[in-house]
Amino acid sequence: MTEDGIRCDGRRLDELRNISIKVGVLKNADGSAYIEFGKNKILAGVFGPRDVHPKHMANPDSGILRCRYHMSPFSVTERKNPAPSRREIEISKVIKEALQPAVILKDYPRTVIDVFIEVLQADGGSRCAALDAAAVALADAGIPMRDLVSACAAGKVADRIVLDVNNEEDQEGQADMPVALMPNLGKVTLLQLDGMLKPEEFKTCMQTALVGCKRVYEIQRKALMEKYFQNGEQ
Amino acid sequence: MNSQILDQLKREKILDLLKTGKRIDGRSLDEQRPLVIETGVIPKANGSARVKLGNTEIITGVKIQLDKPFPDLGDKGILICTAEILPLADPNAEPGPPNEEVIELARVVDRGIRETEMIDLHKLVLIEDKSVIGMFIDSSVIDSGGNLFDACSYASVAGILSCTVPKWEVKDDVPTLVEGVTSKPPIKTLPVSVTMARIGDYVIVDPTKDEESCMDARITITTNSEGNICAVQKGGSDGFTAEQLIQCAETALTVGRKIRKQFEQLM
Amino acid sequence: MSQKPTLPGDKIAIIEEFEMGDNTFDDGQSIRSLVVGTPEFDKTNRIAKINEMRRPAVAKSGDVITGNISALMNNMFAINILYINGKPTHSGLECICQARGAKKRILVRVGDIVTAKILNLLNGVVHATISEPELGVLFTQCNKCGAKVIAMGSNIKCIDCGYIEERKLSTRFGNSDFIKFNSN
Repeated sequence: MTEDGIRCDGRRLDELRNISIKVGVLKNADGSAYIEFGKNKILAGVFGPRDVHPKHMANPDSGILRCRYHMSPFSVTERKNPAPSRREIEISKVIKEALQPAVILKDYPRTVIDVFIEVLQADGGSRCAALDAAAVALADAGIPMRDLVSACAAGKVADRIVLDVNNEEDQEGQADMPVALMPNLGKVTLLQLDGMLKPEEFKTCMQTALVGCKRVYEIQRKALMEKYFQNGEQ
Repeated sequence: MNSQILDQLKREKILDLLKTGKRIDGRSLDEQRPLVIETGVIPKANGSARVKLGNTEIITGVKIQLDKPFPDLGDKGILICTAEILPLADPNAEPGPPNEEVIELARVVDRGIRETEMIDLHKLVLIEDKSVIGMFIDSSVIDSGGNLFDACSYASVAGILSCTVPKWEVKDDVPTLVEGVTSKPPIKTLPVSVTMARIGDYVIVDPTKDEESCMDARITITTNSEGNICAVQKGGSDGFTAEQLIQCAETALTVGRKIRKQFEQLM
Repeated sequence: MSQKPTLPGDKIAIIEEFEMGDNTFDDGQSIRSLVVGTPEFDKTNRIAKINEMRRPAVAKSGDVITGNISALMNNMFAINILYINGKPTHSGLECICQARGAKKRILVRVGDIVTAKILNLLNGVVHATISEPELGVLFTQCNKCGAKVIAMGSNIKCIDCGYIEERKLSTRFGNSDFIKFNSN
């Protein structure tokens, strides 16, 4: 990073990478979205509400939400074994728990809503990008939701708080903090931290991430509006 | 979840149309769906392709890395093709270890590319018996609309054609990467897989998911640029007559020529 | 006047002004949208609702479904739903029909394709009926030999072995127009 705060990929401290979202890209899935978040390329597909297999997982009082975050073998520099790693299983769980507060499951007892995420190319912050795509795919499937979920990371690189940590910064940096937010309701549904922050840095870092989430939200919004209302928002 | 009576009714409808020489999507019996190939879609991979064959969509990534040869094949590089049906591609696909159908898919795709000798594996050897270049061609089905065999095969071939192979130099018996130098993979021929399905007395090219659900038998034939038949896989719970199979081989060659032209444009 | 489209979480009214209608929830202060759609305000009854752009493939009361009989019990049977209002679904969800008078006569058998109307959703169970002329069995086969059958009044007769059996037939029995194929 340079003295005046220009980062290794040319961004300013508070600048997001380029983000684009396409809604309804898959024909078989009930809802889908494709996101390019910097060099991340991620597909999300939603099926359901549908019959639960195995049956014993079904809840007679409410629907259940399942989530699978998976990386393609060619998504990272070294070819990845396609079997799910412990990292992918943990990320699947935190993504599910970040989406769950938004999704109304009570209306669909004994059913499951499956969210499948495929990381085609990974580049730092893939869990946030995956969450952004998954939330849009859920809305595309017509699943009732209290809010969208928007996610973005912030971190500490070369002693400075930066928004949206990329792969190189994640490797060299001092801290990485992914955050997910329900933007209209103001609720944080995912928060993780890898690294070391002073209490005041923690505060700035979180606020920086939340600002990022709100900017991501505008992009999610635009993508859905373009899909469903051709003129976009008036 | 599947209804036997419904499958029978679908079959009757499809057969009624076939009697008039038509198919449910308006194609003729020996017509493939439009094939759209886009390469370089995964810049982090050494080669990649996104292929659409009608409603079927595949993403393939090629990874090239230094490897050890198989003990009995010290004079050949490593080539491994895999295929996976992602759970987001099909309501009936399940996450978890691949089932027998997915394993068959991966093996048939691999066989087509291996047996046509598309890549000169001898040219991937750096130090005989010790160090070779490995090519991993991984295909993911992202939308399933029938005939995954051909779609995955086309995506794999297109991915290989779009590849740039890094250069390793052998210094003191150790291969070292030469930064910034790449080459095209050593391609000898272009394999084209053509899958046909038999429904009643009719043989149709490039079946859709609906057609596959009521077919009697299936055959996948891979041919090379020289017009040889290099790999065959018969599937499905019924058979073909010898005459039908000979006809299928001819169809595979004629239909294959058109696809090969599309591949040639990628070179 | 067309209303501004909404997304999940969008505020559409305050609770002092309107009551919650379809596809909305209240967060204690505001009425918000649950779906992608367009709001509609009923000013006489003071209800705000959202007309959704897309609906999950879950049957609602009033829907007409087509499916196959997956299970037969003493006084009810289950239908595996394949089409909702003519639209194919792969959700694998089922609905239950009460089979009044089923002890006296056979209404349906496992595997039959029937069309039914959804009555209500109670305790997570979808209840349906086939007691209307156009509802009931659309397709079935001979219970003895599996061959094709033809309708004979309220009975079916096998064209191969001549076996006669009862069914609650739909007036549309034998009509397969509901089958849809995916193009390409």
